[in-house]
Amino acid sequence: MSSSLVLPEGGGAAAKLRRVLVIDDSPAVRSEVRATLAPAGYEVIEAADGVSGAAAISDGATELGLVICDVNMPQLTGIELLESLAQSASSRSVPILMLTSEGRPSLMQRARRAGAKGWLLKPFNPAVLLTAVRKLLPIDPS
Amino acid sequence: MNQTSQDPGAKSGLDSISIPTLRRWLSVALAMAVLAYTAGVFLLVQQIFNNFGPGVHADLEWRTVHGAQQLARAAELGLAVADSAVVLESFGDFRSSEDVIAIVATSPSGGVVAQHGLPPAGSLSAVFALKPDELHQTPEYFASWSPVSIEGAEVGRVAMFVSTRRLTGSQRLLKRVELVTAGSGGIGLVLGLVVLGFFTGAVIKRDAALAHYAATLEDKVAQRTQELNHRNRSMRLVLDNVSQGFITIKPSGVMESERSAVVERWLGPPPLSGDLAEWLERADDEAGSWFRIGVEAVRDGILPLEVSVDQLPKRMQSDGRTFRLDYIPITSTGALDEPLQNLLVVITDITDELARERFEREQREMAQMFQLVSADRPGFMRFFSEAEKIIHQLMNDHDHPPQVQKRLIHTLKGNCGLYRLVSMVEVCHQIESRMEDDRTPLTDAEREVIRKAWTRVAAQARSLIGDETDDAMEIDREDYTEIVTLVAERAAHERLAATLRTWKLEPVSLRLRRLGAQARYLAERLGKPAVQIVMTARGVRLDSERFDGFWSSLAHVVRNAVDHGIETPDVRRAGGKADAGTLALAARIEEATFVLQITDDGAGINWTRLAEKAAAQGLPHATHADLVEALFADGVSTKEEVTQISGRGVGMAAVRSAVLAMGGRVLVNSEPGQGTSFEFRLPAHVPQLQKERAA
Repeated sequence: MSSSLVLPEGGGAAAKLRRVLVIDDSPAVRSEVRATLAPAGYEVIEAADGVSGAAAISDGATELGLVICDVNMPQLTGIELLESLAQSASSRSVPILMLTSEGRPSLMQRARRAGAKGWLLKPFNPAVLLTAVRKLLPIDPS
Repeated sequence: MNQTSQDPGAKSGLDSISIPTLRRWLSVALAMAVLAYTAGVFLLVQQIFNNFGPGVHADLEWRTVHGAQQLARAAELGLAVADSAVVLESFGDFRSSEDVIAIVATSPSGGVVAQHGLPPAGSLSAVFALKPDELHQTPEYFASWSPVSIEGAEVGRVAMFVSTRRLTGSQRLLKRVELVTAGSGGIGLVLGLVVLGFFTGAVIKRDAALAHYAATLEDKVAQRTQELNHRNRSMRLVLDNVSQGFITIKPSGVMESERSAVVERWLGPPPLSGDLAEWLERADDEAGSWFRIGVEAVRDGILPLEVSVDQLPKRMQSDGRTFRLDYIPITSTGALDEPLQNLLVVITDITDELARERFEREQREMAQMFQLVSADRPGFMRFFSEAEKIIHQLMNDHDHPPQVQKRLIHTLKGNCGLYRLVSMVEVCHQIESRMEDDRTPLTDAEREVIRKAWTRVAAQARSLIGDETDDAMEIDREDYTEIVTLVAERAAHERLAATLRTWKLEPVSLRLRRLGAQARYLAERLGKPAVQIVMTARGVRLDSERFDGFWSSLAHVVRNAVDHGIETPDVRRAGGKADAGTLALAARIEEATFVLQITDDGAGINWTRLAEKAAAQGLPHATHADLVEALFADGVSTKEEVTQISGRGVGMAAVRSAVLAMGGRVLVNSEPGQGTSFEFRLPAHVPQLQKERAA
């Protein structure tokens, strides 16, 4: 109770733990993910492609609790993004969940080897997404 | 300490005595106890009577003799005066004694003076026949008499009769006690024996049953074992002979010991580690490592169990056979939100099933091809020769960049789709997807897959079209009427020759008819209402060879119009349009330019979305021209889903490259909600006459 009074609004350590980055080139998917996670207490930030998503992850200022990433994106695919992140040790601690219409096992395996925590298929069931997100990034629902 | 003493050693002593022996011993002991008791009681009672019987006898004897003497003295006076009342009075207490039967006082001559009681008949004379004070004994009574004398002179006699009832009564009692004792002893003995017999009998019976059971137990165990073995054998027979194998794994991926033997026949000996993934990897590296990663995800439990289990591999290959993999998660309660306990993996050999399906599909493809060939033989032959060309390029031109190879495969897929060659479409789609992923060129293995699939299709196709070459000429009724008219009008020979020369050119109407048929077929495949086709191509003819590439690339435009352009009936209705979409195909000649317009009345291009996509790709997107350019760029599609029909953004690039190759250009006009129109303008090199007529 007292700590929530002390913390400044929209920042600080508490916000970091509930911040989820959604990387998807479809605004429809991004807003659907936001609509699923925001009511559950997560702070959702967006990136419209792999390049800006990778930049947000590597940027130390944006402290993230979880990344939800599409696969088929122009320029930098989700798999390429994941593999490039796996190279740099610093961002390895952020769990990454793949959310894609892609179902090819070769890609699923590549993603897993590069450290993806899960692979969800579009169109996704919001309840399943929320379950997975809660497992990866448990927060106090208040 | 106590417990150690209760070892089997203590039991064995009892065990050594059989129950019948015990019963015999107990019976004897019981009989002896009853006899001893009876005899004891008998002897004791005897003893009592022996002790008291003589006393009673002596007492009675004394009472008789002494009583007579005592009364003789008491009765002196009475007898002297012969007064019976006085004599009776002198008898005193003897009169009230129960033992006394009678007392008789007589005169010396024997006349009765006084009498108490009644002596037994004839007994009086018998008594007086004895000497005085002598005891007369009979079983019923004792008697004696005594003389009464005063100063030596006999004045009378007194006789006393005493009953022996007391003595005989006790003797009868003794007899009765003996009888009762003996009787109760006998009854006790009988009862004891009955009870003993009953209990030992029950024990013996039980023991006999036990003994019988024990004797037959071995047989029973043997029989039951045989039954179980039989059943196990049947189960194993079932497990081993169905085309399914069952393996249970722990969440770690390690197999439980029980599993179908048939799996070993399929996959070879299992690995020592017991790791199922390792076993699968040996047979099918791809499926095995997919399984390994999938089980990891199942174990992680990030996704719900049914989702992660659904992501496990569903097919695998081993030794030329194909297997289907099914999974049944086992949790403690059976509910899927519980932690996983075991995973049952069911492996099914579906090689034969697949072969049958493939055969059926080939039959179907063959039948469809036959229909299509019958309906439009030249069209099919053109498709066929063009596909052969593409296959030839794919097989032999190793220098093509991956992008070009992918485009060729995409075109091949589209054209095969129009002729419903599903097997070819699948092969192309798979390879195209792979190339999309890693952007590397075709591998030799993929070439082989394409070659095989095409060889099969080609064999079927050739059986339908024969070795006939593409040198037939098509003339429609209009051409025929025209030449007849020219001849009738006696037109100049030059004119006739020029007209006839156009015949070797292909009527554009034929090509348009094919495009229309493709559009209708696509609509049917996509579950949309039949598309209205409006065609205008009066008399336009073109050099078929030169335009081949262009025509086949148009399949993409038609596909886009039907798949992306024309909306679903409910959306169309909401927009005030007819349920069925319309596709207009209009060809004409303008100067030396062939103009083809393909117009749909669908949703129109989503320019905003296209601009977003272009921006994401790093393409210019400021002007309409930029966006038209982007529309034809590789990899741009406004569609979210990739299907076998369209969505990769490859097709439009193929169209543009075909148009550019012919030195032409494309105009795009699209209004949101109104539809899209593509106008292709290509240099035609048409003969002079054609131009005149077109004008």
